[in-house]
Amino acid sequence: MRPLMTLLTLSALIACGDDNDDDGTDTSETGSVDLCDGVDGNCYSFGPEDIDALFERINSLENGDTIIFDEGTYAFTNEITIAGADGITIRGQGKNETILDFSGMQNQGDGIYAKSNDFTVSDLQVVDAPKDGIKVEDSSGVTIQRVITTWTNEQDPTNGSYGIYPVKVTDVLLEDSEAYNSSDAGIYVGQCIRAIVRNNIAKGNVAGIEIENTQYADVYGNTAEGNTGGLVAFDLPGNPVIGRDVYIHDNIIKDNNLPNFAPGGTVAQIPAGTGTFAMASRRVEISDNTYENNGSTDIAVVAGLIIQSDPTAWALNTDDLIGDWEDLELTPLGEGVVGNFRSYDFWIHDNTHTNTGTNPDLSTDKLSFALAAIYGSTPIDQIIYDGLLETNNMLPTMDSGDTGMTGEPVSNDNNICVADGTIGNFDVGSWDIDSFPPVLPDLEDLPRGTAPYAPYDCEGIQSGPIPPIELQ
Amino acid sequence: MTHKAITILSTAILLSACAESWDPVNVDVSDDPPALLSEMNLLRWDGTTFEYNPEIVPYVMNTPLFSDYALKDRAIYVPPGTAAVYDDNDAFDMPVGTVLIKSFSFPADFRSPDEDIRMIETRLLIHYETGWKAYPYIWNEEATDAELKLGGGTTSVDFIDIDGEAVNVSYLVPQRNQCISCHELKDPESGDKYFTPIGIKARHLNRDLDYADGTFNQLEYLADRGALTGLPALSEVPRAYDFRALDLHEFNASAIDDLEGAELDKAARDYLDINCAHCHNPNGVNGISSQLFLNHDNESAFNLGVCKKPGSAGKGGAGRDFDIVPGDSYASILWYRMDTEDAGSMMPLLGRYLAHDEGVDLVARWIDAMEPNDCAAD
Repeated sequence: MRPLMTLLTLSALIACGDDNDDDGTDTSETGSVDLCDGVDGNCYSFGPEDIDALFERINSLENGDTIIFDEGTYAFTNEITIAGADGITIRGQGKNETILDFSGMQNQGDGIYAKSNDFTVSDLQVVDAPKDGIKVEDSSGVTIQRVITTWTNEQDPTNGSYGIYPVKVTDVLLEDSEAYNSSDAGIYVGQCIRAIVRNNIAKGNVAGIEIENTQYADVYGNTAEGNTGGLVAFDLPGNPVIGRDVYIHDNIIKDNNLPNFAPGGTVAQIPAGTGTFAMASRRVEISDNTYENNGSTDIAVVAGLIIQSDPTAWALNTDDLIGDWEDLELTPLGEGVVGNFRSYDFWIHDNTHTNTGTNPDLSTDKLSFALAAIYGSTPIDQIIYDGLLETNNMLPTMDSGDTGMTGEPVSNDNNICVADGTIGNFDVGSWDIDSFPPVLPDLEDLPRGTAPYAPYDCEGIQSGPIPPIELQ
Repeated sequence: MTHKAITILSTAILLSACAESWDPVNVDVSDDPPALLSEMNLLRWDGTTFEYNPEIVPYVMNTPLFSDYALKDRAIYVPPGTAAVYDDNDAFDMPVGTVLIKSFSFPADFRSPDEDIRMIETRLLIHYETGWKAYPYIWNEEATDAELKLGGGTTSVDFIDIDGEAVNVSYLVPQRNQCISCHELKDPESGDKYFTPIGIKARHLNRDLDYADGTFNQLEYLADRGALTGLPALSEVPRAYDFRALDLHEFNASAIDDLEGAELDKAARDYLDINCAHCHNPNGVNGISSQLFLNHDNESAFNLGVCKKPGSAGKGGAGRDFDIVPGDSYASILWYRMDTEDAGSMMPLLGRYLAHDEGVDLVARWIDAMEPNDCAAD
């Protein structure tokens, strides 16, 4: 049937102005096994030889259409772009059975790019996309299930940026999927409102799973293994979606010691050996995760000033903000202007930590270099906190200079609640991260302890729990 | 690398005076367009020149968009008895039935740009009652007609550049869904997305063109034909940088090196506007996340990229920290993403396989001429 495919689809197309196929019939022309059986609405199936017909079809989609890929390896030279219709479903025959190969694509583009409400993609694999593997942008009601995104070469900075990438999506379910070898984040949930990210695997990426500028995320049952950083959550400056209510629980986050191979971007600053890196974040609960063999540290809680030290770069007009922010204690930066660089309201509990911080990254990255230099041969603490923007965060032995700090113990205005694990306050506030090599405090001067350790002992603070998230 | 699109275009337009008879333009906005371009009676290609239906008006842009050095022929059809409505800043409000026609071709050798021309594609933007829709037509090998190909395609194009070097391009004819990459905007109030033309704006069209019947300002020519209403005195009409002043199509380093001050700023800003601002503007669906706004009327230095760290630039920076480092183009991500030919990093996202060396040089000179600032936090 393959050679007939193009002709048939073309003639259907030419007729489509006056002859709609809206009766829900199955218009598949695929051979013996009818892949469209049981599908409601219009359904079209394609095999690896039908790429021209496939592109004609996806560029004349109508609401509710289903596109089904047969098994096999598809050689694409252009992005699969889904737009102009809602309720589109793209489905393969399995994440190891339907392989969409973009290695022959010479032009810029993603593997699958979709801008479509109520969009579903499942049961297929995207290989060697020039840019991102699967990107869904500016849409609502997105489901991504049982997909793999990967690049053939490991640790290659020319690999694409993001594997699975819902961005500016409202209500996204991302589950049972796998992401390998991206030069930025394997799974990147960016600027989304309401996201469930569960039971996925991320390996060999710079950042395994990344939750960025996202509100209401439930992240559980995932395995982040063998990345530079395992599972990270942060806000970037200037973005109008202020991250909040991120619940990271019951994940396995281990062996994230891959040398950082990002060619640039924020993730280039993640030290190898980082389990979870939380930056410029608020209302974050990290619980019941299994941390194992992360060479630098398991959980790092830091202010955004570590990547952008100029607070004015974080200025946001409240008129521009998207989603829920009014109940957040954002830093005022003027009339109608707030900043989201502070990290606060963290509840960290019931995680297990094994063999943390024994293999810190000795590269010249500023943060990792500092950690390695401060701790020396002592294992780095399981949880480290920069103490930035505390009213009091001054080491008694240090000169307060013009910082206004009083030499009192850490005030914990940021409501960092740590129920178990060892904590090191590495006190970035008292040394200049932007100078290199930085002048570092001595390890014996660092406030360190084993939870419950004041002031992080959860006494009198409300940092959780994060309420359950229901997609709408 | 330079070429001579202007020459070709002028020749094409002059020759259209010798037109044989034409049937009326056949655009039915109650239906999708026909499978063959020829059925619409819009244009003919004789292997050397375009001939347009007399109901159609060709036009050129003050500052053109770069598309892998492809030669472009642009024209507009406004249905008889209707007119577009002038606007100072936005795309003109064009009547239903309007068709914008843009054809892409390559000569075998840019040193003889009017010989051995390979027609690649003709893109139509048709204004339906429900809004604008895009249709890519791909020419057959003999260039006798073009076929509607919603799925677009890629094709290998070989040419000799102006320096005599052999160049190969993996040329992408965008699939229809990719047209939104440049043509879709978001209403900042309602959040509704809408599809819009880019080039039909006062500032792009405000210049002269040699028509079959004489040389006229393009806006006045349209107005005189009754195809444009509300045109104020030309002295009040904005004008983008006219790249003929740079001899763009003989574009050479010395012309760029001679630019200074306000002229350099205008040339660079208008180049960035037409090449980048369809996404990088405050209403651009894809540009909002980056907060990098390259529209010509953006007045925020930060949003222009000055000492601005990128949002989710991914690998696009190749180790660079800021979009623009004043005085140091090489350290600027903006320059890098225009200069690189790495398929995962280059900008714009669509329509570029090669770097536009001359555009890159222009933007480099503009950044280098800024008051130096290493962007270090103080």
